Amino acid sequence: MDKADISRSSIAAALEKFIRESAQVPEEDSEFGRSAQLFDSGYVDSLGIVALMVFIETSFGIELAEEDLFDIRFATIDGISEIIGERLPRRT
Amino acid sequence: MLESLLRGPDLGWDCRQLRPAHVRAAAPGVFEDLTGRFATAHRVGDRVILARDPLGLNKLFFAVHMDAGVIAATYLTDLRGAGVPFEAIYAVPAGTTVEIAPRQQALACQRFHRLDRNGSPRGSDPVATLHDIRADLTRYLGHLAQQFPAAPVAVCLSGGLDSALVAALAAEHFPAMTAYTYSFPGTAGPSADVSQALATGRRLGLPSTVVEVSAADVLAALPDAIRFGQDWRDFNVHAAIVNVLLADAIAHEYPAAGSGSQVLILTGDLMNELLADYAPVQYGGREYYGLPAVGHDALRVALVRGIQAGDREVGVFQSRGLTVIQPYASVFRKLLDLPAALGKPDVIRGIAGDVFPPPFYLRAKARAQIGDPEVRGGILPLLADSGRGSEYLEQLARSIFGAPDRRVLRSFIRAGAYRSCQGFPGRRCGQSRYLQV
Repeated sequence: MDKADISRSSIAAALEKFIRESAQVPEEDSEFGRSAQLFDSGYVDSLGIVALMVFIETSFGIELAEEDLFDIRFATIDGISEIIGERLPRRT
Repeated sequence: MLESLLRGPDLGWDCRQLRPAHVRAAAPGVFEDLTGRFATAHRVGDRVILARDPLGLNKLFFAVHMDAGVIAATYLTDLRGAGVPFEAIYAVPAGTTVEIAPRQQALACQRFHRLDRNGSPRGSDPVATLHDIRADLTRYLGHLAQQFPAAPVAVCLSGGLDSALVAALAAEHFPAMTAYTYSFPGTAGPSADVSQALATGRRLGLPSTVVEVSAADVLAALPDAIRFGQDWRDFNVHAAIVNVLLADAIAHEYPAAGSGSQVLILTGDLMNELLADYAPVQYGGREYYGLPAVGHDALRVALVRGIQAGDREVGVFQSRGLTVIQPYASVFRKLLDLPAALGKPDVIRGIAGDVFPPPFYLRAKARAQIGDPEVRGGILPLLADSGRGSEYLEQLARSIFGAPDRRVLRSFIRAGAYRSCQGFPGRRCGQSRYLQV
């Protein structure tokens, strides 16, 4: 997929799928969603965040800085999608 | 405008002192040429410039006060001692400058060093790189001997390959060097690592001191391992305990250390991160020291990036007035150029040449804080069996650093980095006059 064609929603879908699989979130977990607090709720632990970073950097071809990890938005799937969306090249 | 509580020396790998003028200039590109371990804080007009070395070996924390400006420190506890709430403390990321203009309420981060995310360059010749690394290490240690001709020098010999190579190369330049080896015999007797370390010392003709400790010593060292090791994660705390005990023993031998007299401590640290030579440890039916589920190249980047959080070497030895030297840091770029397929024994053998006999490379690897591959004794079993697991370490860290709860403490380290901010902290932290994001 051309980076410019990646929508915010498809970014979120990819992140959700990755986190569901890597954290083994059951389908019936109603608390989990794109606005769930990933760290405070334990969906992503200290090892999981490294895998998440690698997934983001390789899937979307962007580089995350340490400061990004502490961006207030870097706590939910929606927020992370926003950060990724800002880093992708804009469609001209 | 700036209160600096920075401790310990900045060391250039080319062994020149890092020039303050360099730092004060603070123009784009200035820091890219600086190699070494450093953490600097300078006032330039109405701005404060903070900068930290590419690997984040020296720690650099700061907070912004509504009236007084910026306070910067090496140790978290120094900021807490100055009245800064834990939630208002931020770190300068590795290889980054942070420029703060308190009156304009502006903060900008600028990265001057990036880790290559794509793994080792496939075209480079490993044999030539290993040869270069040997030459660079020899040159560096030679410069170090010229820079500190009168300094007492100790090398921490764990019994593993990394510290043995450092000792072998350093012995050429520091003939009066002493080897120190930590030993926690417990009920299992001296570990295989201790025997190996003593054999290495004999082979190199070094006087050796075994720092034999008891379970009580290990437990007594735990608070300082967290306080000065600036971490609560078990893999770093356990390693920091070893260093607290070694540092205490060495400082006891050199009482003038830190008061105008420099004592150099050479270690083999960082090679494991640079080669991603780590594996989880099984004990009591549980896995300890887990690693993220990523490929080898990505793991290597993650481990090297993670050097910036945790202060088990520089911070711990500095707390006893000792200056730690990690020679592998001086060649980190070349070590990262080596292909992932090259195992640790091959790397050490390639650098060492014929210094060690072939059987030396055959021994199974053990963690220094455990001592032998079978995990028969050591710090991990002692702490695990006495109920001092991860939750206990977090609780102790909360009390030492004054973190209000577990969530706040845990959020201070993420993916191997301390909390940083990319904008000016704009709101008051509770009732204090310090600011948080």
